[in-house]
Amino acid sequence: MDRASQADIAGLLEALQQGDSAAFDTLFPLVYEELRGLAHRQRRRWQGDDTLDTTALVHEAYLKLVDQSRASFESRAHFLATAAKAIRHILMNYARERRAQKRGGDQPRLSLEELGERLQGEVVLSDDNADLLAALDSALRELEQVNERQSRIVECRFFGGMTIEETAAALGISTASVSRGWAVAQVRLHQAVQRELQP
Amino acid sequence: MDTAREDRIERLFEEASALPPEQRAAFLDRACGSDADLRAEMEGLVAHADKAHRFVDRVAGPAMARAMGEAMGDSRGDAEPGADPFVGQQVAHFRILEKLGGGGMGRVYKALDLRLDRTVVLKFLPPHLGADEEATQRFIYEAKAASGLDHPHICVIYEIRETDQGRLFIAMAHYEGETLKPKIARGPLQVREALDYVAQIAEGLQRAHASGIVHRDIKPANVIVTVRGKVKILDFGLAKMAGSDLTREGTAIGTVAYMSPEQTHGNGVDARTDIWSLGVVLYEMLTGKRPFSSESDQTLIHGIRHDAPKPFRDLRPDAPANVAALVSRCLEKTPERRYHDAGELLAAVRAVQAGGTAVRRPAWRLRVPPNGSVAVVLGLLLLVAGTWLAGKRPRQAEVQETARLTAAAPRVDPDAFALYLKASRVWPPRTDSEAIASLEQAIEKDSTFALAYATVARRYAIFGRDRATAERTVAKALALDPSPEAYNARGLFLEFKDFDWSAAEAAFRRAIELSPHNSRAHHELGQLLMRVGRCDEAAAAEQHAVLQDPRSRQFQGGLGEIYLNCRRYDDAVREFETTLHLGRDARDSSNTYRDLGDVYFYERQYAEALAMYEKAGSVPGWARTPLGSRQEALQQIDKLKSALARDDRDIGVRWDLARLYTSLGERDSAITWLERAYERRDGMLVYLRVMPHFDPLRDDLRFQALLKKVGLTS
Repeated sequence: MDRASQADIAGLLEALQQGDSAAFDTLFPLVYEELRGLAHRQRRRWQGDDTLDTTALVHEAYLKLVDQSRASFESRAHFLATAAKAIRHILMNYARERRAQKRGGDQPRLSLEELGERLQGEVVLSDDNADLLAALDSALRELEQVNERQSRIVECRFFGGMTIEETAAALGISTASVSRGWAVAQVRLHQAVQRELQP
Repeated sequence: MDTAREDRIERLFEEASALPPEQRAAFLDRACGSDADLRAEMEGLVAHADKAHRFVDRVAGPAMARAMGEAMGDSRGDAEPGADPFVGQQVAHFRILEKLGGGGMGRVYKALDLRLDRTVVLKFLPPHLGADEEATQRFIYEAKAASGLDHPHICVIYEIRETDQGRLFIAMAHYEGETLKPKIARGPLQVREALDYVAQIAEGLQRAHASGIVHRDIKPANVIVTVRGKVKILDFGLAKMAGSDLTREGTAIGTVAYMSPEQTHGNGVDARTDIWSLGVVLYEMLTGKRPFSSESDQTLIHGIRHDAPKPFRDLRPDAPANVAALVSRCLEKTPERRYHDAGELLAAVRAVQAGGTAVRRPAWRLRVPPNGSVAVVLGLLLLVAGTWLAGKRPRQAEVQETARLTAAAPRVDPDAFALYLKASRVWPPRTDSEAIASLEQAIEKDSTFALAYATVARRYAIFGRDRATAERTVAKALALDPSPEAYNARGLFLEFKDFDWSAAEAAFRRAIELSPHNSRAHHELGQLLMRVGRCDEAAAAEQHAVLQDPRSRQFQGGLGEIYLNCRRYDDAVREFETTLHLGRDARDSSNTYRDLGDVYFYERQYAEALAMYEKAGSVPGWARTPLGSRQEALQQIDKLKSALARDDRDIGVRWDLARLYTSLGERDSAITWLERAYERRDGMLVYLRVMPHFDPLRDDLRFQALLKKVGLTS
């Protein structure tokens, strides 16, 4: 990324911080593409594991995309929140495609208990994984209806691996609100996933 | 969305969660009043909090990371054995042959050791575990300690290494066979067979317990039975590694079903925890069921703490009474009432096998743990509890140091070892009075702790104000153990305190001779060669250190410093930028930004230099003098002088004064301060020959005389 576009992104983040929501629409695809590119490259390196450290990924994208001399804690938080959203999109697209491919999109036949057991087992099947993510996606949409702020917190904390402080800065709320919201949101997500996966 | 109601829910949830579980219902009754809907919702939220957190941490989080990997994979990303993209690749001197599985503890592969031409198992730890330096060190410490156990029933660990990307992996023996897990899944075992396995496990544990090592995660999946019926216990030390990542918010987590009551409290554990877990395994082998089970971890933990096990004889009526007695003695809630250690359990099992009764010693008998080494483990646990700021990845040098230490660890005083570990975390070394203090305490506690002596000697040599103490400590370190670390300390002492360049070089070379892969020795040699102006050799030596330990900021930054002082500024910038990527936060990177500031300063790119110094968090007074502002430099000169008036022993202050005067063009004052630094044997003078900052002074005869004094004539 050359300096000019770095500066553009820093400018977009500043605009976002000022509450210019149109800036998000310009920023999002840039971040999305960058994350995909980085993740692809990271996959090609030897990892010894099939998991990707999404937090590291997001931070790498940040260093790459944003002109560091113009970076502030707040603009960084906004970047991370955008990246978190991008990661959510990447994952949900993946889960949808995978399920459509394998099963013509039918419902999973496993309960959360069973699925959880299998996902913590010795060998994890991609389909199980995709089933869980799809359930998570629905759960998050449900949460969005009940408490929009909590769903934003989940995006930041869960998908973006952001700290309480970073989340607070990105959402413009206090750290105490983030902690409280995150605590409740986790239980609601779990409950909704459980409902979703009821056989 | 009903904002007011939602806020209320969040607050009530917070308050209820802070209460002991038995007080929550009453609290919610009071708080919700007549709002039955709210009461019901709160009830559901509060009851499932633990389970939900666990779901997010253990199921959803890993699922996300996995899916991200798969979504980005070039292949379909199937996790089926054989379809793995890494099979066929080479890591270190291992060729990956096939995937054996991958669970919570990362991927497991069968591999070929190309050097020794034998089949091994490689276990890769998940990347997030390596992120906690403390946990990693503990893990290596324990795994190494276990690998030294050398017992026919303990899985042999060959080595612990890092991949080029810094992922930790363990190479261990490969056995043909299966774990107890699938065996049990096929149905209860014969009593004779089960007792045979328990006896073999107990034999292995006896050896471990005698060395003060507790397994902590005995479960069927951690016990392999080879095709010849021989038992091998796996994964010593791994349990705590996994736990450390998950013990947020005070919850101890492992394989809950096999946890002892004391483990569920998150307390320190000893050998008797393994006895409990082995009791659960025996119960399960004989009945096909676990003594405690429940749909949620929370209720399971409650059962483990308070309930009697499901009656064993009901599930296995044909088992002899003495076997039932064996099981129930293992499953006593209070550790004091269990078999004291694996040796005692083994004797009991042997008695049953021989047709006698299970030996039952008086349950009230208390004994001191064997040889006090359990205290090492407990000491480490405490240390971890106290300081888990973490966030840093371990440096290879420390990994090596830890590995080296473990050979001697059982002989080292546990408190002293804990202090040593604490000191090794302090970074950057320039602010290390804290590290020195910990190390001083460590050697005070254990006056034979060679590595602590060598480490503190190294720090005295560079930062110590007192030559005599440094000299004495170096001598003591060498006398205790003429190790590469001790020679490194000696080299630094000769260099920084005596300016005896050839003797110092010889000491570093001796360290390398003793241990060719000692990255620190290569680093110190590289720095010395740079300071005497042998640039190419210096870069080669430091590159060697970086190659050994690619994640070390100190070595990577050291390479930058070599190029900086050798005036290869483009190369310096490149290396420092690499260093920045190794750091995690501003504090990590402050030194590197200061170095980058220097590069740009010498290149006369003063605006860039200023920006870098600002990022470093402190702008030196000379940064603005070329821009026409002398004021900052003059102010700093006043400040440094009054600091010297308060305490004239500070190292580096005179050196900084010389730098400030140089930038002001006041050559005489600059050289005077350098001479004063020499009178104090200020270690910074090792840079006198090479530092570009003093280029304006180099034609001055006083400067040249000073160079001669520190043995650095051009």
